[in-house]
Amino acid sequence: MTIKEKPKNKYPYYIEAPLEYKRVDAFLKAFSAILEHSNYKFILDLYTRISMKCARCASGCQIYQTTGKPEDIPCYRSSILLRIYKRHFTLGGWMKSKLTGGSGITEKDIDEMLESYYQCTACRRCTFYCPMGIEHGMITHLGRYILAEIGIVPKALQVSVREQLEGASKNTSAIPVPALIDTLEFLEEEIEETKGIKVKFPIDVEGAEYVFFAPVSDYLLEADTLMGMACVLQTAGISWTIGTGNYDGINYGLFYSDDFLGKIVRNEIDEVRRLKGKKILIGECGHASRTAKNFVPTYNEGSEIPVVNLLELTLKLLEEGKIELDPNVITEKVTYHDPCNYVRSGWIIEQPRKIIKSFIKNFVEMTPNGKYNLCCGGGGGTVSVDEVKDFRMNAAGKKKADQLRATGADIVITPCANCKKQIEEVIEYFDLPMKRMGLHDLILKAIKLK
Amino acid sequence: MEQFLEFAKGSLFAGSFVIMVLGLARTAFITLWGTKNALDKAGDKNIPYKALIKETFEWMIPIKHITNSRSAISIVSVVFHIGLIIVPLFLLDHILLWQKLGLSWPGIPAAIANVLTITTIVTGGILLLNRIFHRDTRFLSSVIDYALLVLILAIFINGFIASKPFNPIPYNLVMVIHVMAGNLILILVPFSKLAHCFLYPIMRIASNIAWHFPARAGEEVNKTLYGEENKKV
Ligand code: SF4
Ligand code: SF4
Repeated sequence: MTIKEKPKNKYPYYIEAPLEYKRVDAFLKAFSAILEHSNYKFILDLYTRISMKCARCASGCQIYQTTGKPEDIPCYRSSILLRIYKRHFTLGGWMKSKLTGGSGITEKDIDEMLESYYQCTACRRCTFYCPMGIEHGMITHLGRYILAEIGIVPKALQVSVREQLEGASKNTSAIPVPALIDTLEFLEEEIEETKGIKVKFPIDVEGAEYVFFAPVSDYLLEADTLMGMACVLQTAGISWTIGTGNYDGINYGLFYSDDFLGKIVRNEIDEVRRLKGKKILIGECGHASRTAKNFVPTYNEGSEIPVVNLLELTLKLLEEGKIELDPNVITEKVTYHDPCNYVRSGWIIEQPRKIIKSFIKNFVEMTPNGKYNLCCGGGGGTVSVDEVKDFRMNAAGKKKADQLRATGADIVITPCANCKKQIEEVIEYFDLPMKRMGLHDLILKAIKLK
Repeated sequence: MEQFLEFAKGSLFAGSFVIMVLGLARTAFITLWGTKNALDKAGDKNIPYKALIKETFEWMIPIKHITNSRSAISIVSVVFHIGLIIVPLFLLDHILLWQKLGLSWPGIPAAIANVLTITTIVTGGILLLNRIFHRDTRFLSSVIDYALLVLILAIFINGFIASKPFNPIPYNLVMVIHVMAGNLILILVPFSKLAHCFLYPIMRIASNIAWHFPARAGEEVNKTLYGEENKKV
């Protein structure tokens, strides 16, 4: 293995190779192509008109709350791209630059955007604080997309997407099918050993009601979550399957490229079609759920495939009496972390709470929670970028640590693969006296198998 | 002076009003056209209108959201807007102006107008101080953000003292400043952030629509940039 020469870029860890062309020209070219074909132009027009500069959003952003740097105020973050848009793509901006002699986008702006848009976890919390409802998360999303088109992407994200779209394994963790099957067999044995009952992970079953996509890293790291889920589904008699054509729900396209976002979603749809499945079931993962829920209708162009999140399904089965959870098994004090991608749209807030309260007596909420919960600090794909761990802990994760500590809980439930990794690191880094688990990890312990 | 005042209240006012209306019509056209286009292009056209409209109303009377952050300044801002909207439209003297343009509606009693004027001046003053002294707000502000606020304050203060016995400045001069600044604001509404008074209702719906991407945008962008639909990751 040869060690590549370090790129001489200012932010070497962000990109794979130094850029040989002028970034400014390339940026404007990419920006203009994106404006032409996507839906961003009209919203940029609106945002440039109505940004009130009131700084109310500052109190919504935990990054700013921790760093105190004015550059981290959400409205400022967005203003970088909005300014460039206005200057280069609107008549008013062009006229103003002629009158005031203002110059256009510079190399410095590109560095600033790169820094800024990857130091925003795209958690979309700040929108709740803006009287105008400006979506800074969308500006971050767009800023990253344009940067990606000129070759500026955190290497970790790019490598994962490459493996998923072009690699042999077709998934972000590069798990080949035989390894997957081994893992599932191992999980089946494990359940039989601990629970005394045979529970199956159905593979490639045609015509199943649910085709299941986990964040693929679960197969390496979250055995308990998967076993809990399998127990729930089998006990309730649900017809479901894992497809060997595509079993990864992760979609880092959401974090930097609409192009890849669409392609990854289409691959999911294709797998459901191949297996003649009826619905998509997404495991404990925030962004995987949001990308499927929000974008399957977009990329499936017309025909409908319902998207269901595992927590929704489990609650339904619980309420229908198809599964039973023993209320005496979990005695520890438990709290629950809401993943941004579940809650900002108001989608999955009450479901997990109902499940938890049905079998866990000692449940405490963290404050704030639900729609307003603080991001774990690893959102927007930053959790996968090891080089920014310092930022993830000391800027983005610090408030989370304080919030977790204040609950005094022994267990924090985090039903999202990204949050799981980040919160595990936060717990270790800040030495918090608790452990993190998935919701189905606890269900695994409490479920009464038939 | 008196002649000029008449001119400012007459032709200039009418002219400014027309500019505002035309400007807003342009803004409305651009916005609605853009929104409609985006919706047409979107791969998924399901927009949760009901929830978004509810949210829009909730923020219009932001009782629920005041405690979110910086409550004091939020309340100040809400009070500021009440006078800012009601006085220009419903003060009896203004109604005479509107009548010249062929518009007519009932006014509010002078006493209420006085109170609202004072609250707007006081809260506007606080907002200005906040903009100058609060670090975050100052960091975000550019000249125009201060200028608009100063202009609005000038209009309200001039209008308020004009007819009061304690007014030390000649009535006509105060009125000329008041009317001219008022005209300027009218012209600025469509071309500055003041347009939010007009665009606010569509903001949340538009933001939601913008999250609905065109199904083949990625491929089209690739074609434009690289000449083919698919690019290497
Ligand atoms: S999206 Fe989240 S991290 Fe980004 S500016 Fe808003 S609150 Fe801060
Ligand atoms: S709250 Fe909204 S309008 Fe106010 S500064 Fe932030 S983004 Fe701008």
